[in-house]
Amino acid sequence: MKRFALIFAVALSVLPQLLYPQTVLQGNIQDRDNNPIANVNIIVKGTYDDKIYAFAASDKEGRFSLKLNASADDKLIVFKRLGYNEKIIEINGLSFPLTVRLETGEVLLKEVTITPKSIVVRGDTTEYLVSAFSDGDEKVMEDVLKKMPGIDVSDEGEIKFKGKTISKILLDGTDMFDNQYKIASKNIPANFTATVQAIEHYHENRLLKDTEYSEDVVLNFNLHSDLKMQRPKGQANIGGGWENRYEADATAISMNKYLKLMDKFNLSNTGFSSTSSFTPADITLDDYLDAEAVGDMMQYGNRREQVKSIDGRQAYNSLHFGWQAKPELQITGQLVFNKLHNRFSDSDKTLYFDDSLSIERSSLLAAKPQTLYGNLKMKYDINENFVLTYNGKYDADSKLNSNQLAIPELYSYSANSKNRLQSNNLELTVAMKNKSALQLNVFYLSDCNSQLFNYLQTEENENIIAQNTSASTSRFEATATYLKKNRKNFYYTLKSGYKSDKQDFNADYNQNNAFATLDCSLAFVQAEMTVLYKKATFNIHTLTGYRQQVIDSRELALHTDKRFVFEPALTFSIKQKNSTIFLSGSYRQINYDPNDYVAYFTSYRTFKNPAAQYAINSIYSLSTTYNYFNLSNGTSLTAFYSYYISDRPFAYRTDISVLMNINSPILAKNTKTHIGNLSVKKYIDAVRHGINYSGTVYSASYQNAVNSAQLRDNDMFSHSSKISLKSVFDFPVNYMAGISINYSSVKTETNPRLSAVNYSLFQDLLYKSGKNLTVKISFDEHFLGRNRKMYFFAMPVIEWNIGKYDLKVGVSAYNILNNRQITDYQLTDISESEVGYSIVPAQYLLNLQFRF
Amino acid sequence: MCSGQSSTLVFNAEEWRYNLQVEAVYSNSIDYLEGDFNDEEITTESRKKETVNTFNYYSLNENYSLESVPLVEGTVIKSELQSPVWEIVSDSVQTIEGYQCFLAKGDLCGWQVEAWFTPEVPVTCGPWRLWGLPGLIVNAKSSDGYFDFQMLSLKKTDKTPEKPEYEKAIAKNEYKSVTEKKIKDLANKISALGSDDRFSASVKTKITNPDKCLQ
Repeated sequence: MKRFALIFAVALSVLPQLLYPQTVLQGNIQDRDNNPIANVNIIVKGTYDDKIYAFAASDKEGRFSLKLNASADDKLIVFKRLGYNEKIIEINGLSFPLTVRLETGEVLLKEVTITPKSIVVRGDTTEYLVSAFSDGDEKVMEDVLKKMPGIDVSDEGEIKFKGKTISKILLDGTDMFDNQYKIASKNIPANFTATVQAIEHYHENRLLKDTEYSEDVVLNFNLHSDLKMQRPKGQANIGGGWENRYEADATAISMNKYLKLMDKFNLSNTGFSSTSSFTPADITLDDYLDAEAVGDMMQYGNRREQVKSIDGRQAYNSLHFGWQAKPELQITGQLVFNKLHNRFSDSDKTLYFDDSLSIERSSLLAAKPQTLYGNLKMKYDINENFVLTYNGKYDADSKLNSNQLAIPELYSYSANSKNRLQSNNLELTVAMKNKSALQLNVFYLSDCNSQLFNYLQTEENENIIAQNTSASTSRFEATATYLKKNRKNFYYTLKSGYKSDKQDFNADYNQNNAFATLDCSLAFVQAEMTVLYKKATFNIHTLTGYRQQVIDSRELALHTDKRFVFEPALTFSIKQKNSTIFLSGSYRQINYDPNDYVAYFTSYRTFKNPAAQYAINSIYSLSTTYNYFNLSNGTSLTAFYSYYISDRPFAYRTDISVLMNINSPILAKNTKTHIGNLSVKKYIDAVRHGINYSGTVYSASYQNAVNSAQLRDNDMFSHSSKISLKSVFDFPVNYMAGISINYSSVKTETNPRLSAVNYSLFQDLLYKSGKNLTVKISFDEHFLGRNRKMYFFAMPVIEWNIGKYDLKVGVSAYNILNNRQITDYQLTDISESEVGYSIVPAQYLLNLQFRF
Repeated sequence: MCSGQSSTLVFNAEEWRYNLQVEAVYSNSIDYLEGDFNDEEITTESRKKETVNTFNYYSLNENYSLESVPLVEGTVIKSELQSPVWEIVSDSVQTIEGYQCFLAKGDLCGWQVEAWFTPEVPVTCGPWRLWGLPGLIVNAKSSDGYFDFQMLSLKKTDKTPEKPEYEKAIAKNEYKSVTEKKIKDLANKISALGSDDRFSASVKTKITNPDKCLQ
């Protein structure tokens, strides 16, 4: 069989040469006076097709020679040179050597000017020209990023490039924001940046460039060259207006040879929408244990752009720096201060399905959150083979909430919470021979949190609940990692280490003391292997170890759990020219959470019981992402699907009564969750004029129990879609129009499927007269609540550019119809509620924006 | 290579000259000398910007090419003409700004190059060291992303390809020693200029030349 194949293959490769004996086309080229013509391009092409079969050029003596490995039938020979008329002759029938005479003449040149490409791909770097994606209407970088194909920005500000979440934003190549990249995307003015680069396979540590396979993606904002001067440059905006409103913000950048500085400052009382630019949530680390048992009861409803639901004041400043102290020492960091004073009022009417109990309340909340956050990173390049990195973080938050409740008598509660977190990380990287490296890392984190909660009946001044919760975590981790690249396409990493976690959670309520402590230690070996084969990447990652957990709580006896841990994760990806397919699967165990074993109040009418038994939960997950990204026709598509099974999680039994709901954790069967997301952008011209669709589907099946120990099955489904269309015509008037739809439904074993739908229409009308005058009117029509009542919002903005200093005068108005309240309809598996929340009243502002 | 550079190609049927302007940065921090010396690291005491002009000149009639040596003024690399080896990809017709173009794949010193050329402009030139196709090369890039050339405009001009003047012509294989010496001299010079208390006066130079044709 093999021999046959071999003979067949040989026969095939010989065949064309047997069929078409090589023809040598040669001759010489002369002008009218028989002088030789050099540098004539000679091309053999098909009479009926556009193929080029052979080519050559004439030499100094005007001679040419070329070999044709094809039949001479239906072929043309073309002679062409600047300064002479083109000559085309059919080859069949010609005899060689051939003498060709060219007449002088001019080759007509079509003159062209091409605008620079808006996107250029160079290896791992995709560079976007900012001016090609902006029409001057964008305020901050996030607005421009949303228009760039391949980049997706979620409602929460999370940024993805080709379906992968970015880890950082660099400013002119310097890491000044650490992982708080939203500060950059939500604050740097759009007109500061010349290009945006998306860098794939990014390495922060130069010593690991050849030894570690990185899937890291970062964005780099390259500033305009006029901002890269020694003196500070920036943009400021000041404004004020009716009724007692003010806003002032400024961004300043200064870059000299040693120091890069950026400062963002904001002082305002114009209120916030739920998508406000900076929230303390941006800076909380997932890792630490939170003592904030009672929330601040701000019901934001569904996210609606341009609707401000929180009235209040903000004072914010963040300073970001990169300092090259010595040639080998780089220090980067940031210091963020944010102080808010929020006022919010809402009312709701909740109907519990199972015993038709109806609860009404309204509240007036004043909240004063305050955050101080700092991050410092030092990188010391000891020499060619050693790099030492230190990263320290400090975060202090305090929050004071005071709330007046009417249920319908008057009650009040106040919650005062404080959090403090510190972490330190020291890492030494050593480059070794043969593309290998060794990394030693020590990490320490400590946090302590507390909350004081008082709930009292105002008239009789009777304290109903007095609760004090506190939580702390201390974590220590030491690891040694060996990284190596073997051959061209094979990387592996071996990490071994020790990790210790100590967590405490205490709750004192009405003089009852409840506590749980967890002491957890893990010794582990983590192995990772990456193989690249053609366009495919395969990665396997496993953690194997031995864990001991000692958990103690007031309600349950001391419990020690020792077990082997095995947590594998696999990823597989295929990268094509325009698309990427990404598949991954993993299994991991969840540690005990001390919160589950303590009794405490989670709101004025909800009490959580401790779990009755210790249980370990694990999660299986599968996810796949497909990304299509075509630069030439301006289309991008990201489809994401994820499936999780949570094995033996806690479900909640809820006992509903007029006075109080009591939640008790009980062990349940599996919880299955599906999350899907589709985003499509199609640009018709200039990459801006086009259509944009994004949709999310969420579905979960899980268990809970109501008023009995009997578990019941539930499923929850929600879908939201947003589609918008935008024009960028050459005439003065342009539009943007779109619709967003939200659907959610809940089905329980005891109740039929219930659903809630709301939708919103939005339109922008833009009028531009010359270069200086811009008028924009935004209209939002929200159809909300059980009966989808319409709420109409109109927000006009007039901007006038003055002179060459980029001075802008603006007049804007918010909520000109003076809507005072919005009512939403919300469903859960035990209740339905109508929630009304206040809207910041009408505002008229006069603004002055200038560059300095 | 760094982005956003502007370059021009002036050509006729016999000769052409390609000019590229790059901004070179000598810095103590990131230590890049961008352009032809992209990854050269010079650890010096101050940061300085300078515009460097580079050129490639080709004469078909005289059968040689001249290429500038960045930083070493007056010296050029002179070579006999030898074009990259090209293979035209069949069925690869595409219209670029009204010109019918064909795709050719070639090898330049180990770089895998994809170049689009148009026989409608009957010359054999292109940007940088790329030439030898039966038509003007309008776009070209290497598979590793080291270079990516795009034609931005094409127009008639009264200019002629100017033959560069030079003091000394060297062969390709002399390039490395000449440049290394120059970079060391330069680094010493810059360090002498910018020394203050904060930095030591030591100078390190590390050259990892990414230019495959000149290694």
